[in-house]
Amino acid sequence: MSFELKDVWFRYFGAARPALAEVSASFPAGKHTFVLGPNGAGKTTLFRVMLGLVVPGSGSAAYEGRTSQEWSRREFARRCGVVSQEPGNLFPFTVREMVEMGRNPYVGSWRNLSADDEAVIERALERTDLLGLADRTVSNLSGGELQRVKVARALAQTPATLLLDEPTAHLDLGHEMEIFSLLRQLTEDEEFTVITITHNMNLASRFADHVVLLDGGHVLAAGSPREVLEPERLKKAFGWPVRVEDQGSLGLQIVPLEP
Amino acid sequence: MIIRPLVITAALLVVSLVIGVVVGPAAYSIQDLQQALFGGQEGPARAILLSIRFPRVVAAALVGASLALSGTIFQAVLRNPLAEPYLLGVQAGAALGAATAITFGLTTVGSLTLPLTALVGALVAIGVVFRVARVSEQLDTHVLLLAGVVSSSFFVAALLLLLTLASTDSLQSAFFWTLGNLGGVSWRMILVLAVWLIPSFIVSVAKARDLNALSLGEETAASLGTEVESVKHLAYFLASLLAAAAVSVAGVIGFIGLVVPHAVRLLWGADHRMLIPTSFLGGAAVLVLADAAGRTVASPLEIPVGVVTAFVGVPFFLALLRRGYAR
Repeated sequence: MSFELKDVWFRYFGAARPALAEVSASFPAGKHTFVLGPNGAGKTTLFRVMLGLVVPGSGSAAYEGRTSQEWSRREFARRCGVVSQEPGNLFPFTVREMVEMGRNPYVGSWRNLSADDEAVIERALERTDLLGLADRTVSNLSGGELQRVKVARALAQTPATLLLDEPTAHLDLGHEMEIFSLLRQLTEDEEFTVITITHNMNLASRFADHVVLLDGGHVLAAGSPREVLEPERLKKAFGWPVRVEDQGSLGLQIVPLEP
Repeated sequence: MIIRPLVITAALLVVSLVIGVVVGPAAYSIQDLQQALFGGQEGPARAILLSIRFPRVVAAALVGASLALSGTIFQAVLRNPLAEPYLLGVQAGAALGAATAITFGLTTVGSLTLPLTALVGALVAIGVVFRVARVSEQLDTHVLLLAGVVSSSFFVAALLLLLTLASTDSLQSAFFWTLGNLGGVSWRMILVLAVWLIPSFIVSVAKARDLNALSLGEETAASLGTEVESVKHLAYFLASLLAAAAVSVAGVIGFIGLVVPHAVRLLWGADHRMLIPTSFLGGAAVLVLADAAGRTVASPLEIPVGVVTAFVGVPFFLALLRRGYAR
Protein backbone atom coordinates (compact mmCIF):
# COMPACT_ATOMS: atom_id res chain seq x y z
CA MET A 1 0.00 0.00 0.00
CA SER A 2 1.14 3.50 -0.64
CA PHE A 3 -1.47 5.55 1.21
CA GLU A 4 -3.77 4.02 3.80
CA LEU A 5 -6.56 6.06 5.41
CA LYS A 6 -8.38 4.71 8.46
CA ASP A 7 -11.57 6.32 9.73
CA VAL A 8 -10.39 9.87 8.96
CA TRP A 9 -12.51 12.75 10.26
CA PHE A 10 -11.75 16.33 9.47
CA ARG A 11 -13.71 19.48 10.20
CA TYR A 12 -12.61 22.97 9.15
CA PHE A 13 -12.49 25.56 11.92
CA GLY A 14 -16.01 26.93 12.47
CA ALA A 15 -17.64 24.64 9.88
CA ALA A 16 -21.00 23.10 10.78
CA ARG A 17 -20.40 19.70 9.23
CA PRO A 18 -17.17 17.76 8.76
CA ALA A 19 -15.45 17.96 5.37
CA LEU A 20 -14.41 14.32 5.78
CA ALA A 21 -16.29 11.75 7.85
CA GLU A 22 -15.33 8.13 8.46
CA VAL A 23 -13.10 8.07 5.41
CA SER A 24 -11.24 4.81 5.03
CA ALA A 25 -9.46 4.08 1.78
CA SER A 26 -6.47 2.18 0.47
CA PHE A 27 -4.34 3.19 -2.47
CA PRO A 28 -2.66 0.12 -3.93
CA ALA A 29 1.00 0.46 -4.89
CA GLY A 30 1.84 0.35 -8.59
CA LYS A 31 -1.72 1.24 -9.63
CA HIS A 32 -3.49 4.35 -10.82
CA THR A 33 -6.16 5.25 -8.27
CA PHE A 34 -8.75 7.96 -8.87
CA VAL A 35 -10.44 9.88 -6.11
CA LEU A 36 -13.66 10.83 -7.84
CA GLY A 37 -16.44 13.06 -6.60
CA PRO A 38 -18.55 16.15 -7.27
CA ASN A 39 -17.58 19.67 -6.21
CA GLY A 40 -17.50 19.94 -2.44
CA ALA A 41 -17.23 16.18 -1.91
CA GLY A 42 -14.07 16.64 0.16
CA LYS A 43 -11.55 15.66 -2.53
CA THR A 44 -9.17 18.55 -1.98
CA THR A 45 -9.44 18.17 1.79
CA LEU A 46 -8.53 14.51 1.36
CA PHE A 47 -5.57 15.55 -0.77
CA ARG A 48 -4.46 17.97 1.97
CA VAL A 49 -4.80 15.29 4.63
CA MET A 50 -2.78 12.82 2.56
CA LEU A 51 0.00 15.36 2.08
CA GLY A 52 0.05 16.21 5.77
CA LEU A 53 -0.93 19.83 5.07
CA VAL A 54 -3.75 19.43 7.59
CA VAL A 55 -3.95 16.92 10.44
CA PRO A 56 -7.14 14.84 10.70
CA GLY A 57 -9.28 15.45 13.79
CA SER A 58 -9.37 11.71 14.36
CA GLY A 59 -8.35 8.61 12.48
CA SER A 60 -5.05 8.15 10.70
CA ALA A 61 -3.58 8.83 7.29
CA ALA A 62 -0.38 6.95 6.64
CA TYR A 63 2.00 6.76 3.72
CA GLU A 64 4.15 3.63 3.55
CA GLY A 65 3.11 2.91 7.12
CA ARG A 66 4.07 6.29 8.58
CA THR A 67 1.71 9.18 9.38
CA SER A 68 2.48 12.67 8.12
CA GLN A 69 3.84 13.70 11.53
CA GLU A 70 6.33 10.85 11.33
CA TRP A 71 7.66 11.96 7.94
CA SER A 72 9.91 14.97 7.62
CA ARG A 73 8.84 17.22 4.73
CA ARG A 74 12.10 16.55 2.96
CA GLU A 75 11.94 12.78 3.26
CA PHE A 76 8.31 12.76 2.20
CA ALA A 77 9.15 14.89 -0.84
CA ARG A 78 11.65 12.25 -1.97
CA ARG A 79 8.95 9.56 -1.96
CA CYS A 80 5.90 11.46 -3.13
CA GLY A 81 5.72 14.00 -5.96
CA VAL A 82 2.77 16.38 -6.15
CA VAL A 83 1.01 18.29 -8.89
CA SER A 84 -1.24 20.75 -7.07
CA GLN A 85 -3.68 23.28 -8.48
CA GLU A 86 -1.45 26.23 -7.58
CA PRO A 87 -0.40 27.84 -10.87
CA GLY A 88 3.05 28.89 -9.63
CA ASN A 89 3.82 31.08 -12.63
CA LEU A 90 3.78 34.50 -10.90
CA PHE A 91 7.54 34.99 -11.02
CA PRO A 92 9.67 34.61 -14.16
CA PHE A 93 11.40 31.29 -13.53
CA THR A 94 12.54 29.38 -16.58
CA VAL A 95 11.11 25.92 -17.26
CA ARG A 96 14.46 24.36 -16.35
CA GLU A 97 14.61 26.26 -13.03
CA MET A 98 11.09 25.06 -12.21
CA VAL A 99 12.00 21.45 -12.89
CA GLU A 100 15.28 21.85 -10.96
CA MET A 101 13.20 22.62 -7.88
CA GLY A 102 12.16 18.97 -7.97
CA ARG A 103 15.66 18.27 -6.65
CA ASN A 104 15.17 20.58 -3.62
CA PRO A 105 14.59 17.64 -1.26
CA TYR A 106 17.98 16.21 -2.24
CA VAL A 107 20.39 19.15 -2.34
CA GLY A 108 21.81 21.12 0.59
CA SER A 109 21.58 24.90 0.91
CA TRP A 110 25.16 25.54 -0.14
CA ARG A 111 25.47 22.81 -2.78
CA ASN A 112 25.02 22.93 -6.50
CA LEU A 113 23.19 20.22 -8.40
CA SER A 114 25.32 17.13 -9.04
CA ALA A 115 25.72 15.48 -12.44
CA ASP A 116 23.19 12.87 -11.30
CA ASP A 117 20.69 15.61 -10.42
CA GLU A 118 21.22 17.16 -13.85
CA ALA A 119 20.61 13.79 -15.52
CA VAL A 120 17.34 13.35 -13.61
CA ILE A 121 16.21 16.83 -14.66
CA GLU A 122 17.12 16.18 -18.28
CA ARG A 123 15.16 12.95 -18.25
CA ALA A 124 12.11 14.62 -16.67
CA LEU A 125 12.19 17.35 -19.32
CA GLU A 126 12.50 14.76 -22.04
CA ARG A 127 9.61 12.59 -20.80
CA THR A 128 7.27 15.58 -20.67
CA ASP A 129 8.45 16.80 -24.07
CA LEU A 130 9.81 20.05 -22.64
CA LEU A 131 13.42 19.98 -23.85
CA GLY A 132 12.61 22.55 -26.53
CA LEU A 133 11.01 24.87 -23.96
CA ALA A 134 13.64 24.52 -21.22
CA ASP A 135 14.82 28.13 -21.41
CA ARG A 136 11.38 29.69 -21.79
CA THR A 137 9.92 31.71 -18.93
CA VAL A 138 6.99 29.98 -17.23
CA SER A 139 4.89 33.16 -17.28
CA ASN A 140 4.80 32.84 -21.09
CA LEU A 141 3.62 29.23 -21.27
CA SER A 142 0.19 27.96 -22.28
CA GLY A 143 -1.94 26.11 -19.73
CA GLY A 144 -0.98 22.73 -21.18
CA GLU A 145 2.73 23.53 -21.17
CA LEU A 146 2.61 24.80 -17.58
CA GLN A 147 0.86 21.63 -16.47
CA ARG A 148 3.59 19.54 -18.14
CA VAL A 149 6.20 21.59 -16.28
CA LYS A 150 4.51 20.71 -12.99
CA VAL A 151 4.47 17.02 -13.92
CA ALA A 152 8.14 17.23 -14.92
CA ARG A 153 9.00 18.85 -11.59
CA ALA A 154 7.21 16.07 -9.71
CA LEU A 155 9.08 13.46 -11.80
CA ALA A 156 12.37 15.20 -10.97
CA GLN A 157 11.67 14.37 -7.33
CA THR A 158 12.21 10.70 -8.41
CA PRO A 159 9.27 9.68 -6.26
CA ALA A 160 7.57 6.31 -5.87
CA THR A 161 4.15 7.96 -5.84
CA LEU A 162 2.64 10.83 -7.83
CA LEU A 163 -0.34 12.69 -6.43
CA LEU A 164 -2.21 14.97 -8.84
CA ASP A 165 -5.08 17.33 -8.01
CA GLU A 166 -7.22 17.99 -11.13
CA PRO A 167 -4.13 17.85 -13.35
CA THR A 168 -6.00 18.47 -16.59
CA ALA A 169 -8.91 20.64 -15.44
CA HIS A 170 -8.04 23.42 -17.87
CA LEU A 171 -6.59 21.37 -20.69
CA ASP A 172 -8.06 20.46 -24.04
CA LEU A 173 -8.58 16.85 -25.07
CA GLY A 174 -5.21 16.33 -26.75
CA HIS A 175 -3.16 17.74 -23.89
CA GLU A 176 -5.29 15.83 -21.40
CA MET A 177 -4.66 12.54 -23.17
CA GLU A 178 -0.92 13.25 -23.44
CA ILE A 179 -0.66 13.66 -19.68
CA PHE A 180 -2.76 10.61 -18.89
CA SER A 181 -0.93 8.38 -21.34
CA LEU A 182 2.33 9.42 -19.65
CA LEU A 183 0.78 8.53 -16.28
CA ARG A 184 -0.32 5.17 -17.67
CA GLN A 185 3.24 4.46 -18.83
CA LEU A 186 4.53 5.31 -15.37
CA THR A 187 2.26 2.80 -13.65
CA GLU A 188 2.49 0.07 -16.25
CA ASP A 189 6.19 0.19 -17.09
CA GLU A 190 7.85 1.68 -14.02
CA GLU A 191 5.74 0.60 -11.07
CA PHE A 192 4.84 4.14 -10.10
CA THR A 193 1.84 4.58 -7.84
CA VAL A 194 -0.35 7.36 -9.24
CA ILE A 195 -3.26 9.03 -7.46
CA THR A 196 -5.44 11.47 -9.38
CA ILE A 197 -8.12 13.63 -7.84
CA THR A 198 -10.83 14.71 -10.23
CA HIS A 199 -14.53 15.26 -10.78
CA ASN A 200 -14.21 13.93 -14.33
CA MET A 201 -15.98 10.53 -14.44
CA ASN A 202 -14.84 9.70 -17.95
CA LEU A 203 -11.19 10.13 -17.07
CA ALA A 204 -11.67 7.81 -14.12
CA SER A 205 -13.53 5.22 -16.17
CA ARG A 206 -10.84 5.31 -18.84
CA PHE A 207 -7.60 5.38 -16.85
CA ALA A 208 -8.33 4.12 -13.33
CA ASP A 209 -7.22 0.77 -11.94
CA HIS A 210 -9.02 1.64 -8.75
CA VAL A 211 -11.68 4.27 -7.95
CA VAL A 212 -12.60 5.85 -4.62
CA LEU A 213 -15.94 7.63 -5.03
CA LEU A 214 -16.39 10.46 -2.56
CA ASP A 215 -19.59 12.35 -1.79
CA GLY A 216 -20.40 14.74 1.06
CA GLY A 217 -17.20 13.80 2.87
CA HIS A 218 -18.03 10.06 2.83
CA VAL A 219 -16.65 7.23 0.74
CA LEU A 220 -19.64 6.13 -1.31
CA ALA A 221 -17.87 3.19 -2.94
CA ALA A 222 -14.39 1.91 -3.78
CA GLY A 223 -13.17 -0.69 -6.23
CA SER A 224 -12.52 -1.19 -9.93
CA PRO A 225 -14.20 1.29 -12.33
CA ARG A 226 -16.71 -1.38 -13.38
CA GLU A 227 -17.66 -1.99 -9.76
CA VAL A 228 -17.92 1.63 -8.72
CA LEU A 229 -19.29 3.49 -11.73
CA GLU A 230 -22.95 2.50 -11.63
CA PRO A 231 -25.63 4.83 -12.96
CA GLU A 232 -27.66 5.00 -9.72
CA ARG A 233 -24.61 5.71 -7.59
CA LEU A 234 -23.31 8.36 -9.98
CA LYS A 235 -26.72 10.02 -10.09
CA LYS A 236 -26.72 10.16 -6.29
CA ALA A 237 -23.21 11.62 -6.10
CA PHE A 238 -23.32 14.05 -9.01
CA GLY A 239 -27.01 14.94 -8.89
CA TRP A 240 -27.64 14.15 -12.54
CA PRO A 241 -28.98 11.05 -14.32
CA VAL A 242 -26.36 9.25 -16.43
CA ARG A 243 -26.07 6.21 -18.65
CA VAL A 244 -22.94 4.04 -18.49
CA GLU A 245 -21.91 2.63 -21.87
CA ASP A 246 -19.34 -0.10 -22.34
CA GLN A 247 -16.79 0.90 -24.98
CA GLY A 248 -14.85 -2.39 -24.81
CA SER A 249 -11.11 -1.83 -24.62
CA LEU A 250 -11.65 1.92 -24.25
CA GLY A 251 -13.41 1.34 -20.94
CA LEU A 252 -16.72 2.73 -19.80
CA GLN A 253 -18.22 5.94 -21.05
CA ILE A 254 -20.51 7.95 -18.86
CA VAL A 255 -23.12 9.92 -20.78
CA PRO A 256 -25.29 12.49 -19.03
CA LEU A 257 -29.02 11.98 -19.80
CA GLU A 258 -31.32 14.96 -20.31
CA PRO A 259 -31.87 17.72 -21.16
CA MET B 1 23.40 31.87 -14.51
CA ILE B 2 24.41 33.36 -11.19
CA ILE B 3 27.91 34.70 -11.77
CA ARG B 4 27.28 37.37 -14.41
CA PRO B 5 24.57 39.36 -12.56
CA LEU B 6 26.69 39.18 -9.41
CA VAL B 7 29.79 40.50 -11.12
CA ILE B 8 27.84 43.29 -12.80
CA THR B 9 26.13 44.48 -9.61
CA ALA B 10 29.32 44.15 -7.57
CA ALA B 11 31.14 46.31 -10.11
CA LEU B 12 28.25 48.79 -10.01
CA LEU B 13 28.54 48.94 -6.23
CA VAL B 14 32.30 49.61 -6.31
CA VAL B 15 31.85 52.38 -8.88
CA SER B 16 28.98 53.92 -6.95
CA LEU B 17 30.96 53.84 -3.69
CA VAL B 18 33.78 55.77 -5.34
CA ILE B 19 31.34 58.26 -6.89
CA GLY B 20 29.53 58.60 -3.57
CA VAL B 21 32.72 59.55 -1.76
CA VAL B 22 34.15 62.00 -4.31
CA VAL B 23 31.05 63.97 -5.31
CA GLY B 24 29.26 66.48 -3.13
CA PRO B 25 29.25 70.21 -2.36
CA ALA B 26 33.05 70.06 -2.43
CA ALA B 27 34.06 67.82 -5.30
CA TYR B 28 37.23 65.75 -5.16
CA SER B 29 39.08 63.68 -7.71
CA ILE B 30 39.95 60.02 -7.54
CA GLN B 31 43.53 61.11 -6.79
CA ASP B 32 42.33 63.03 -3.74
CA LEU B 33 40.60 59.88 -2.57
CA GLN B 34 43.76 57.82 -3.12
CA GLN B 35 45.74 60.43 -1.21
CA ALA B 36 43.26 60.39 1.64
CA LEU B 37 43.17 56.61 1.80
CA PHE B 38 46.82 55.76 1.32
CA GLY B 39 48.70 59.07 1.50
CA GLY B 40 48.55 59.38 5.25
CA GLN B 41 48.74 63.21 5.43
CA GLU B 42 46.17 65.05 7.48
CA GLY B 43 44.17 67.74 5.71
CA PRO B 44 40.69 69.04 5.03
CA ALA B 45 40.26 66.67 2.09
CA ARG B 46 41.11 63.68 4.22
CA ALA B 47 38.79 64.88 6.98
CA ILE B 48 35.83 65.40 4.67
CA LEU B 49 36.35 62.23 2.66
CA LEU B 50 37.04 59.84 5.51
CA SER B 51 35.05 61.31 8.40
CA ILE B 52 31.99 62.71 6.64
CA ARG B 53 31.57 61.19 3.21
CA PHE B 54 32.84 57.72 3.92
CA PRO B 55 30.48 56.84 6.79
CA ARG B 56 27.58 58.36 4.89
CA VAL B 57 28.30 56.28 1.80
CA VAL B 58 28.73 53.11 3.84
CA ALA B 59 25.44 53.85 5.63
CA ALA B 60 23.70 54.33 2.28
CA ALA B 61 25.08 51.01 1.04
CA LEU B 62 23.94 49.12 4.14
CA VAL B 63 20.49 50.73 4.22
CA GLY B 64 20.00 50.14 0.47
CA ALA B 65 21.08 46.51 0.80
CA SER B 66 18.76 46.00 3.80
CA LEU B 67 15.76 47.44 1.98
CA ALA B 68 16.36 45.48 -1.21
CA LEU B 69 16.89 42.23 0.71
CA SER B 70 13.76 42.88 2.77
CA GLY B 71 11.69 43.58 -0.35
CA THR B 72 12.97 40.46 -2.10
CA ILE B 73 12.00 38.25 0.83
CA PHE B 74 8.56 39.85 1.26
CA GLN B 75 7.74 39.49 -2.42
CA ALA B 76 8.58 35.79 -2.35
CA VAL B 77 6.79 34.92 0.87
CA LEU B 78 3.68 37.02 0.23
CA ARG B 79 3.73 35.98 -3.45
CA ASN B 80 2.96 39.57 -4.23
CA PRO B 81 5.10 41.49 -6.70
CA LEU B 82 3.91 44.75 -5.11
CA ALA B 83 5.15 43.83 -1.66
CA GLU B 84 7.81 46.14 -0.27
CA PRO B 85 9.53 46.50 3.10
CA TYR B 86 7.09 49.08 4.44
CA LEU B 87 3.88 47.35 3.39
CA LEU B 88 3.28 45.64 6.70
CA GLY B 89 3.35 48.71 8.92
CA VAL B 90 7.05 48.92 9.81
CA GLN B 91 7.38 52.38 8.30
CA ALA B 92 4.25 53.79 9.96
CA GLY B 93 5.23 52.33 13.33
CA ALA B 94 8.75 53.74 13.06
CA ALA B 95 7.44 57.16 11.94
CA LEU B 96 5.08 57.25 14.91
CA GLY B 97 7.95 56.34 17.24
CA ALA B 98 10.23 58.98 15.77
CA ALA B 99 7.53 61.66 15.79
CA THR B 100 6.75 60.89 19.43
CA ALA B 101 10.40 61.42 20.32
CA ILE B 102 10.53 64.64 18.30
CA THR B 103 7.31 66.21 19.64
CA PHE B 104 8.08 65.40 23.25
CA GLY B 105 11.60 66.74 22.90
CA LEU B 106 13.26 63.42 23.69
CA THR B 107 15.80 63.89 20.90
CA THR B 108 17.91 66.13 23.14
CA VAL B 109 18.57 63.19 25.46
CA GLY B 110 21.14 61.58 23.18
CA SER B 111 22.03 61.00 19.56
CA LEU B 112 20.64 57.46 19.62
CA THR B 113 17.20 58.43 20.96
CA LEU B 114 15.62 59.01 17.58
CA PRO B 115 16.72 55.73 15.98
CA LEU B 116 15.82 53.85 19.14
CA THR B 117 12.30 55.28 19.42
CA ALA B 118 11.77 54.66 15.72
CA LEU B 119 12.95 51.08 16.22
CA VAL B 120 10.55 50.63 19.14
CA GLY B 121 7.68 51.91 16.96
CA ALA B 122 8.65 49.52 14.17
CA LEU B 123 8.91 46.58 16.56
CA VAL B 124 5.47 47.31 17.98
CA ALA B 125 4.04 47.29 14.45
CA ILE B 126 5.84 44.01 13.63
CA GLY B 127 4.52 42.43 16.84
CA VAL B 128 0.92 43.55 16.36
CA VAL B 129 0.76 42.36 12.75
CA PHE B 130 2.40 39.04 13.62
CA ARG B 131 0.01 38.46 16.52
CA VAL B 132 -3.04 39.07 14.32
CA ALA B 133 -1.84 36.95 11.39
CA ARG B 134 -0.76 33.93 13.42
CA VAL B 135 -3.62 31.51 13.91
CA SER B 136 -3.00 28.05 15.41
CA GLU B 137 0.76 28.25 14.79
CA GLN B 138 0.29 29.17 11.14
CA LEU B 139 1.05 32.48 9.53
CA ASP B 140 -1.66 33.36 7.01
CA THR B 141 -0.07 35.56 4.36
CA HIS B 142 -3.39 37.10 3.28
CA VAL B 143 -4.15 38.11 6.85
CA LEU B 144 -0.57 39.31 7.20
CA LEU B 145 -1.05 41.65 4.25
CA LEU B 146 -4.41 42.97 5.43
CA ALA B 147 -3.33 43.30 9.05
CA GLY B 148 -0.20 45.14 7.89
CA VAL B 149 -2.05 47.58 5.70
CA VAL B 150 -4.73 48.24 8.31
CA SER B 151 -2.31 48.72 11.21
CA SER B 152 -0.32 51.03 8.94
CA SER B 153 -3.39 53.25 8.59
CA PHE B 154 -3.86 53.23 12.35
CA PHE B 155 -0.26 54.27 13.02
CA VAL B 156 -0.49 56.96 10.36
CA ALA B 157 -3.67 58.30 11.97
CA ALA B 158 -1.94 58.40 15.35
CA LEU B 159 1.03 60.11 13.70
CA LEU B 160 -1.20 62.76 12.12
CA LEU B 161 -2.97 63.37 15.43
CA LEU B 162 0.37 63.81 17.12
CA LEU B 163 1.63 66.20 14.46
CA THR B 164 -1.58 68.25 14.63
CA LEU B 165 -0.79 68.96 18.24
CA ALA B 166 2.93 69.47 17.69
CA SER B 167 4.84 72.77 17.42
CA THR B 168 5.96 74.04 14.01
CA ASP B 169 9.58 73.09 14.71
CA SER B 170 8.71 69.55 15.69
CA LEU B 171 6.43 69.29 12.69
CA GLN B 172 9.27 70.22 10.38
CA SER B 173 11.75 67.82 11.99
CA ALA B 174 9.23 64.98 11.86
CA PHE B 175 8.44 65.80 8.25
CA PHE B 176 12.11 65.71 7.27
CA TRP B 177 12.61 62.47 9.16
CA THR B 178 9.93 60.82 7.05
CA LEU B 179 11.74 61.93 3.87
CA GLY B 180 14.79 59.91 4.77
CA ASN B 181 18.24 61.18 5.59
CA LEU B 182 21.59 59.44 5.62
CA GLY B 183 23.50 62.45 6.96
CA GLY B 184 23.26 61.76 10.64
CA VAL B 185 24.36 58.13 10.66
CA SER B 186 27.23 57.50 13.04
CA TRP B 187 29.82 54.72 12.87
CA ARG B 188 28.17 53.13 15.87
CA MET B 189 24.84 52.87 14.05
CA ILE B 190 26.62 51.57 10.96
CA LEU B 191 28.21 48.85 13.04
CA VAL B 192 24.86 47.85 14.54
CA LEU B 193 23.28 47.76 11.10
CA ALA B 194 26.11 45.68 9.65
CA VAL B 195 26.06 43.22 12.53
CA TRP B 196 22.37 42.62 11.83
CA LEU B 197 22.49 42.76 8.04
CA ILE B 198 25.36 40.36 7.32
CA PRO B 199 23.94 37.33 9.19
CA SER B 200 20.48 38.07 7.76
CA PHE B 201 21.99 38.01 4.29
CA ILE B 202 23.75 34.70 4.90
CA VAL B 203 20.59 33.09 6.29
CA SER B 204 18.56 34.37 3.31
CA VAL B 205 21.02 32.91 0.83
CA ALA B 206 20.92 29.61 2.73
CA LYS B 207 17.12 29.64 2.39
CA ALA B 208 17.17 30.63 -1.30
CA ARG B 209 15.85 27.27 -2.53
CA ASP B 210 13.03 27.38 0.03
CA LEU B 211 12.16 30.91 -1.07
CA ASN B 212 12.09 29.72 -4.69
CA ALA B 213 9.61 27.04 -3.71
CA LEU B 214 7.53 29.36 -1.51
CA SER B 215 7.23 31.90 -4.30
CA LEU B 216 5.33 29.25 -6.29
CA GLY B 217 2.77 28.61 -3.55
CA GLU B 218 2.66 27.11 -0.08
CA GLU B 219 1.25 23.72 -1.09
CA THR B 220 3.86 23.44 -3.81
CA ALA B 221 6.63 24.44 -1.41
CA ALA B 222 5.52 21.84 1.13
CA SER B 223 5.46 19.15 -1.55
CA LEU B 224 9.02 20.11 -2.53
CA GLY B 225 10.26 19.49 1.00
CA THR B 226 10.11 23.00 2.48
CA GLU B 227 9.05 23.31 6.11
CA VAL B 228 6.62 26.04 5.11
CA GLU B 229 5.62 27.50 8.46
CA SER B 230 9.11 27.74 9.88
CA VAL B 231 10.48 29.33 6.71
CA LYS B 232 7.57 31.80 6.62
CA HIS B 233 8.09 32.78 10.26
CA LEU B 234 11.81 33.18 9.73
CA ALA B 235 11.28 35.20 6.56
CA TYR B 236 8.70 37.50 8.14
CA PHE B 237 11.00 38.39 11.02
CA LEU B 238 14.12 38.68 8.86
CA ALA B 239 12.47 40.99 6.35
CA SER B 240 10.57 43.05 8.92
CA LEU B 241 13.56 43.55 11.17
CA LEU B 242 15.75 44.51 8.20
CA ALA B 243 13.19 47.14 7.25
CA ALA B 244 12.93 48.27 10.88
CA ALA B 245 16.70 48.65 11.19
CA ALA B 246 16.93 50.57 7.92
CA VAL B 247 14.05 52.90 8.71
CA SER B 248 15.31 53.57 12.24
CA VAL B 249 18.73 54.59 11.00
CA ALA B 250 17.80 56.54 7.88
CA GLY B 251 14.10 57.40 7.99
CA VAL B 252 11.69 56.43 5.26
CA ILE B 253 13.37 55.69 1.93
CA GLY B 254 10.92 54.24 -0.54
CA PHE B 255 11.14 52.35 -3.82
CA ILE B 256 14.49 50.61 -3.26
CA GLY B 257 12.78 47.59 -1.73
CA LEU B 258 10.20 47.44 -4.50
CA VAL B 259 12.17 48.46 -7.57
CA VAL B 260 15.53 46.75 -7.10
CA PRO B 261 14.31 43.14 -6.82
CA HIS B 262 11.93 43.75 -9.71
CA ALA B 263 14.63 45.18 -11.90
CA VAL B 264 16.86 42.20 -11.13
CA ARG B 265 14.03 39.78 -11.95
CA LEU B 266 13.25 41.49 -15.23
CA LEU B 267 16.91 41.45 -16.21
CA TRP B 268 18.05 38.06 -14.94
CA GLY B 269 15.09 36.00 -13.73
CA ALA B 270 13.56 34.83 -10.48
CA ASP B 271 16.01 32.30 -9.00
CA HIS B 272 16.60 33.48 -5.42
CA ARG B 273 20.11 32.07 -5.37
CA MET B 274 20.90 34.82 -7.87
CA LEU B 275 18.17 37.27 -6.87
CA ILE B 276 19.13 37.64 -3.21
CA PRO B 277 22.83 38.51 -3.60
CA THR B 278 22.20 40.55 -6.74
CA SER B 279 19.41 42.61 -5.15
CA PHE B 280 21.57 43.02 -2.06
CA LEU B 281 24.46 44.50 -4.06
CA GLY B 282 22.14 46.37 -6.42
CA GLY B 283 20.17 47.93 -3.57
CA ALA B 284 23.39 49.11 -1.96
CA ALA B 285 24.65 50.63 -5.21
CA VAL B 286 21.38 52.34 -6.08
CA LEU B 287 20.98 54.02 -2.70
CA VAL B 288 24.62 55.21 -2.70
CA LEU B 289 24.05 56.78 -6.12
CA ALA B 290 20.68 58.27 -5.13
CA ASP B 291 22.22 59.83 -2.05
CA ALA B 292 25.14 61.21 -4.07
CA ALA B 293 22.66 62.70 -6.54
CA GLY B 294 20.62 64.24 -3.71
CA ARG B 295 23.72 65.91 -2.35
CA THR B 296 24.94 67.34 -5.64
CA VAL B 297 22.06 68.10 -7.99
CA ALA B 298 20.79 71.20 -6.18
CA SER B 299 23.92 71.89 -4.10
CA PRO B 300 24.21 73.51 -1.59
CA LEU B 301 20.61 72.50 -1.02
CA GLU B 302 20.20 68.81 -0.28
CA ILE B 303 17.30 66.94 -1.88
CA PRO B 304 15.93 64.25 0.47
CA VAL B 305 17.16 60.86 -0.68
CA GLY B 306 13.62 59.42 -0.55
CA VAL B 307 12.58 61.97 -3.17
CA VAL B 308 15.52 61.04 -5.40
CA THR B 309 14.81 57.30 -5.20
CA ALA B 310 11.19 57.93 -6.21
CA PHE B 311 12.06 60.39 -8.99
CA VAL B 312 14.67 58.15 -10.56
CA GLY B 313 13.24 54.81 -9.50
CA VAL B 314 9.75 55.18 -10.85
CA PRO B 315 10.51 56.13 -14.49
CA PHE B 316 13.28 53.55 -14.61
CA PHE B 317 10.93 50.93 -13.29
CA LEU B 318 8.16 51.85 -15.72
CA ALA B 319 10.62 51.59 -18.61
CA LEU B 320 11.75 48.16 -17.39
CA LEU B 321 8.15 47.02 -17.04
CA ARG B 322 7.39 47.98 -20.62
CA ARG B 323 10.49 46.21 -21.82
CA GLY B 324 9.65 43.16 -19.71
CA TYR B 325 6.12 42.84 -21.00
CA ALA B 326 7.10 43.56 -24.58
CA ARG B 327 9.23 40.42 -24.57
